[in-house]
Formats: sequence, structure tokens, C-alpha cells
Amino acid sequence: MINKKDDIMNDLNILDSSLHEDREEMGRMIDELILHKPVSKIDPLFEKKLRRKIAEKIKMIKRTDAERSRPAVFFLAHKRRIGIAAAIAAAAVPAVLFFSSPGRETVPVAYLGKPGDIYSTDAREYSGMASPMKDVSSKQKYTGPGAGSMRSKSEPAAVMSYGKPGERDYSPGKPLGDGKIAYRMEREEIAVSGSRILMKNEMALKEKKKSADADDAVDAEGRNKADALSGDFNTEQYSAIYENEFLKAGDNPLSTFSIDVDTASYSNMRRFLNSGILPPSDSIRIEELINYFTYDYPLPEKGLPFSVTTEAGKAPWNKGNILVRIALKGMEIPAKELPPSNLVFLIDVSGSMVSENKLGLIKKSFAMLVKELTPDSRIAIVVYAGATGLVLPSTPGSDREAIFNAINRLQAGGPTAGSAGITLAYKVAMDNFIKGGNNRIILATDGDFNIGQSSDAELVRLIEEKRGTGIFLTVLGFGMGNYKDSKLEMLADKGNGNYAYIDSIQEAEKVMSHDIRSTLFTIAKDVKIQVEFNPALVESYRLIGYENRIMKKEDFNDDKKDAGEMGSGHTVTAFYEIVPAGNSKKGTAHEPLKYQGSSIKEEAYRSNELMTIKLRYKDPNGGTSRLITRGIPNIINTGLSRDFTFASAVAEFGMILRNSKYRGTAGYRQVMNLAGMSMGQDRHGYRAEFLKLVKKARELDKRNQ
Amino acid sequence: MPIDEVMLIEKCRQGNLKAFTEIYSHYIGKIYDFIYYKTCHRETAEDITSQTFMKALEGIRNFDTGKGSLSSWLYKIAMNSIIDFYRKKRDTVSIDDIWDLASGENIERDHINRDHMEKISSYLNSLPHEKRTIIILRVWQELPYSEIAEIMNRTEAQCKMIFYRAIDKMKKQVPASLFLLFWAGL
Repeated sequence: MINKKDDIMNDLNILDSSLHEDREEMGRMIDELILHKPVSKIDPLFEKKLRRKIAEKIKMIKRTDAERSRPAVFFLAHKRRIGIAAAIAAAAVPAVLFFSSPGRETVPVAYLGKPGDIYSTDAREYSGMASPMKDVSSKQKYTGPGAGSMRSKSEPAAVMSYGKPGERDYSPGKPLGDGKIAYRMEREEIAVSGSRILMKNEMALKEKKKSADADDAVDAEGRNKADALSGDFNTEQYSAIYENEFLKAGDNPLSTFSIDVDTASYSNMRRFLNSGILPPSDSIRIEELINYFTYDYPLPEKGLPFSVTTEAGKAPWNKGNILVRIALKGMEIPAKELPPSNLVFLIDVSGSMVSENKLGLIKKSFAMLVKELTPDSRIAIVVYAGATGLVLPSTPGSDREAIFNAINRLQAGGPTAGSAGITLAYKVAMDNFIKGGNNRIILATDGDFNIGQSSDAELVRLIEEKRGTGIFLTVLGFGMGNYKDSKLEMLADKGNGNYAYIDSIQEAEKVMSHDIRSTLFTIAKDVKIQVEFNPALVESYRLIGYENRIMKKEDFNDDKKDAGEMGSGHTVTAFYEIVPAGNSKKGTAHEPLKYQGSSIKEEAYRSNELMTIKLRYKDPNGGTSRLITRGIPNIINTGLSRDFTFASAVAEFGMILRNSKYRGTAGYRQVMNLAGMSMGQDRHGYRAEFLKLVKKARELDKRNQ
Repeated sequence: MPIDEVMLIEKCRQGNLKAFTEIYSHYIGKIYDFIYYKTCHRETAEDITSQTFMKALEGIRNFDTGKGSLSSWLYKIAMNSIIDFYRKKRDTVSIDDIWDLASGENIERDHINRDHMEKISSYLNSLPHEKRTIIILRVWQELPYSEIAEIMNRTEAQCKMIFYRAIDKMKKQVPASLFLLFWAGL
């Protein structure tokens, strides 16, 4: 147990030291506060009562939901009074038709209710229109074309707020000509639900304000808040992903990104689907889904660490667009030539790791790994929790018994001081450094670092500092609950490493046994890809996935900029969706420029190259990068390879789960068809499992049936 | 005990609100304590706790896991509920003054804590709302600054600075003799 007062005092130590002249007195003050903490004890009766109240409210919400999903047709009269009468009657008898009183002009407004729809009228009177008011939500405030036609002489008519985005702008209280006035929609809103009509003016206003406040609060915290460090009882965290957009090849001819061999997002998605829940969209990184699978790409030529191939076909979800695949395959190091390994297992044994799917799984995983190692490897184990310790000093791989014993003795307990653990692990790795060997730290954790001064920025600085030492970092995520995906991905990204999420013993087998060479042996580091598109043939393009791997175009030639590592036998796949020139559709084209002419070179028109791919990489121990360049001819393959079809199915699945705005005609059925016909040999059954997951998602996803 | 919160939130979002009762079980203690420390009055704390969880239940389906932790979201709701409660009670009083302890509220403080409070109140009473809240969250609730920052809509460094200044200010407010008296073991 760490002394609370010291903890609180240490927290403050980062502050300017001049503030601490009177440290002792402050300590006393804090002591006083701790000593006089009020005794708070919740009354169990109250706790039970509130639980019951919540259960009742849940039932109520469910009932309301059910009612809302019932379709109903209402006709409202043009006078508010009658409208309300109609509403009350409708509450009793759903789906009744109402007309206005005799002698008055009747304004029938047909409304097909759907949950969450908001229907708006003026406080006194409205002028109607006869089209069904679909797509009207509280956020869309537009005036409609039919407004004002039924206005009474004595009172100013209001304008019905309805319509689709793009129609005339709504401006509250402003005359629209012809004496019409647009009223604030909020003033009078009627929500139409299955059997009830609520006057929602106040309610909706409140709700809107609330959500606006919440949004503001979140915005203020900034985008990186999701990465923020966690406390004892935090939730899982995922960094927000902002989907790559279509870019015009004329304006942005260069697209630059770092490769990514991580697979964590896939196994995390599987965990969600297997528990009967759709994964949150920000947990889906499409490139990690695609790269989870091994593809049968050609081996590299002699002297090159990896091969580069491309293939192009029609995009399954948008037939007018072309899908171009860039495929990399790392060379396979034969078992005999594998360099000796110096491994440091850095294992989180804090209290949060206690469950069987965390520490239990870690033990089994590392046992598998140890079996795969050669006798000349060295292994050390560092654990971290409240204190950090070297459990096993660097031991030769031949002494398996000692290693297994050390692994089996691991126990969980205490808070997590991740940064101290990482520092010690790097020290042990340095002390046993093998020149020309595979020097690597394997971190196993749920990422829940929660003690001391370990802010994200400091951790990143630490890891970046160590990157130059030639020690690689493999991050293995375990467990659920307080799992910190965003932080772990960042650690691996910054630390010349890779990142996998282990949710089951099967996944442990994949990472630690089947793919052990790609997990552990790096063949090229800082691999960057830069694609130059030919604007004569490409109108616009979009990189699918790799959102947090995008680099600036000038970073491509800058050897100081870190990028992804490639392991032995690794395959890396990236897709570009391309709108061919002359095939541009709405949304991608813009008006011709007034001041700037077309700068497309004559050669571009003469060339039949769709694009040029440039790759930069460094040898695992090298400091200067090498360049590979390939021109890609404009050939659309018709007999697409199995791997292309399968990978495109995975990309499509990812786009559905992310609810991508570019998903076009993407659908579960199509994914299953594509994946089903491209299963291939599927030695370990991963592709068959993918099909099962798609089926599961389809059952769970009510939006996209 | 770690609970799988994202799962629970996703369940709620996808219509299975029963999952919310698990969230309730996990947080009721912490949230109640916080509200109690802020009000030091049992019935009031119960009222506000109940409001807090009702609001949370209404809002859980719009909770965005990418935008911060569930815990700080609940704390935020609790804090706003406390402010609302006192605002309703005394329209004219500014938020800085509404808080608790020795603010001259009519409601009688819980007997068991009266002794404690009288001593502390002299310290805490001098502080504005934000400082008091940060002290409660850090010292009594033992939250890390990362989380306090989320709750208070501030950066970690700002929260640390506010905490430091609050302690510093309290130190100056408390007469030296009184201080020694407490320090002597009272």
C-alpha cells in the first residue's frame, strides 16, 4: 500500500520547485484533510430502492421505444387547438385521421411517424404542405417551398420547417417575403410517436442544450483526450478515427503513409462480436483487419527485403470506382539463419491483471513462445506493479525449466507503474544486448498505467528516446474491461514495434507460434509508402484505412521520421479506391479554377501509368533508407486473385462496421459472398472464422439488414 | 473488480438497458461518496445521487466511448446535479457559495460527521467551488489527475496548480494556533 499523503505530494512535485519551500506545512495540511475525511456510508436500503427505481425506468424506456417504432399516420388540422385535440385523440386511438373544423380551410398534413422524428408547427398557426415529412429532425432547420399557402388573414402565418438539407436556409423570426415569418422550430415541436404526441418545445430545448453542453465539454478536452491516462476505474479507450476522404489527384498528387502490421483491432473486434455486441466504430482500424490475414504474395527477389505487387479491379461497393491493391511480402528468414534473440518479457502484474483472461493467458502465451525459441536466445522477465522487479535475470533459452518456473510464479496485485517497468526493461535489454541480434522487449499488459507521473506524453518521450538504441518493442494487449487500446497502439507505433491483441488461447497460438517469426524478427524498419497518382487517369483517390499512419509528403524522404516495421514473412496490404478521370460523380468534382490552369504534364496523358509507387525502408540495424520505385500500368484485372477478393471483402466489412460514408452498396451479404468464394487453402481456419464473424455482425446489426 | 465497461455501454446503446444496472452497481458507492462529501447531508446526498443515475440512464445511449471515461462522465453529471440542486434552492446565491459545510444551510449536518466537519469547514469554507471539488476528488476520492482533469474540463497541469493553490490558501487561512492544536492530535 502506497502512502496516500506521499502520493498526493509526489503528484505535485512536477510543479515549479520554488513553490515547495513550505513542503512540510503542505504535508500537514494534507494530513489534516485525510484525517478529517467525513465518514460516508451509503444506506443499503436507499441503494436497493434506487436500484428498483432504475429497473422501473428501464422498463418505461423500453415501452416508449416499442411504441415509437410502431408506424402511425396522423392528419393534423391547421389550427393549433385542433392539432392538440387531434394529438390527444391520437394518443388514445393510434392511426386516426383528423380534419379541421368545417368552414375553414383544411390543411391535411400526412405524417408517417418514425422514432425520433420531430414535427414542427408555429405557436399559433402553421401553413402546411402536403408532402410527407420524412427526414425532419430537430437539427435540420429549413424552410419549405409550400409554406405560407394556407395562411389566415388575421394572424401572421408561420412557416413549416421541413425539408431536406440544401433547401433554403432557415432563419428564425425573419420575414421571408409575402408576410411569412419563419419561427424558431424549437418554440413548438410536436414529437409524433406511435400512440402519443408530445408537446416537446421545452423538452427538446432542454435536451438540445444538454447535448450541446456535453459536446462543448468534450471539444474543449480536445481530440487526444481519448488517449488520456486512466484511473482505477476507467473504461476502455479508443482514439477517434477520422476517415480518409477522397482527394483530387490534381491537387494532391502524393499520398504518403507508413506501413502497419498490427492486428489488434481484428481480435478486439472478434471479442466484441463473440460477446454479442457490435464493436464501437472507433475500435475498427480497417488496415489491421486486412493485415490480420496472411496472403500468398510472391517472395522478394534476391537482395530485397520484400516484394511489391499490385492488382486492380472494380470496387465491390462502388462499381464505378477502381480498387487498387498494393501488396508487400517480407522475406522469410530460414530457421537456421535466424539471428540470436535477446528478449525481455515485461509483464504487467498489477491488480487489474488478476483475471484468467489476462495473467492466466499471458502465462500460457509466453510458455508457447519459449517453446519456439532457439537455445542460443536469452530471456529475462521484468514485472511491474506497485514496485518494479527483475523476476528472471537474462537466462539462456536452453534453460527452459528456469524460465517456465519464473513464468508460473507470476502473481497479480498492486497498482501499475508502467513507466518504471519500461525503464528497467530497456536497461536489462541494453545490458544483454546482442550485436546484430534480435533485441526486443515484449510488453504484456492491459495498458492501465495508473500511478505516479506517467502521462502519455512522458511515456512516448521515454519510448522514443529508447528507439535509437536498436531495441524493438512488441506490445501484446490482454484482457478486457479497462483495456487501453489507444495507448498500446501508440506505444508500439513510437517504439519501433508491433502490436497485437490476444483475446484467446487461439490468438496466442497465432501470434506466439504460427506467426512467431513475423512477430519477433524485423527485416526492415521505417517502411514508408508514397504513391504519386497520374491526374490524367485518376480523378480522385482514397486510401482505405491507415488513418493514423498518414504522413506528410516531405516526411517520406526524411530519415528521421519513424514509420512501421516489417517482420519476417509479414504481408502488408493497402487499398486505394480510385475514381477514374472522366468518371467523376457529384461530390468529387469542383468548378474549374479561375486563376490556375491545368498543370498536368503532356507526359501524363501519353503515359499509361495509373500511378507510381515509391517505398523507403531501412535495414533493421541501418540508419539510411533505401528507395524502391514501381510504375503501375492502368490495367484493370478481370480475373482477380483470391487474395484480392478476400482482402477487399475484409475492407468492405470494416467499412460497414465503421459505418463509413463511402460504403456505397456495401452489405453483409456481399461481404459473405466475396469472402466465401475466396477462402483458398485457409490452413489455420482464420478465413472461415471471418465468415462466422460477418454472420454474427449481420445478426447484431439492425441498421444494416 | 474490473468490469467490462465498453461492453456494457455498447449493450446499452444497442437497446439492452439492463446492462446499466451493472454500471450502477459499480459506481453507486463512489458517486454517492462524492455527493456526500459535497453536501454532508444524507437525505440531500440520496436525492442528488438518485437524480444523477436517472440522468445517466437517460443519457447512456448517447455516451461516446471515444470521448472520455464513463467514470468522469458520471462524476460530471453528479457535479452538475449538485449545482442544480443548490441553484434551485437559492436562486440568488452564486455557485461558489452554495457549497455545503459551513455555508449556513438550514439542513442539519449529519451528527456523526459534525465534529469532523467543524474542523475542516474552517479550512474548506474559504475555498471556491472548483478548488473544493478538486480537493475532494484528489484527497478523499483518490482520483488521479488525468481523471480529475476530465471531470473539471481542465488540463492535468491546471488541476495540479489549482490543488496546490487551494492547499496553500487553506494553510494561510487557518490560524497558526489552531493548526498546532490539530496537529497535536485532535
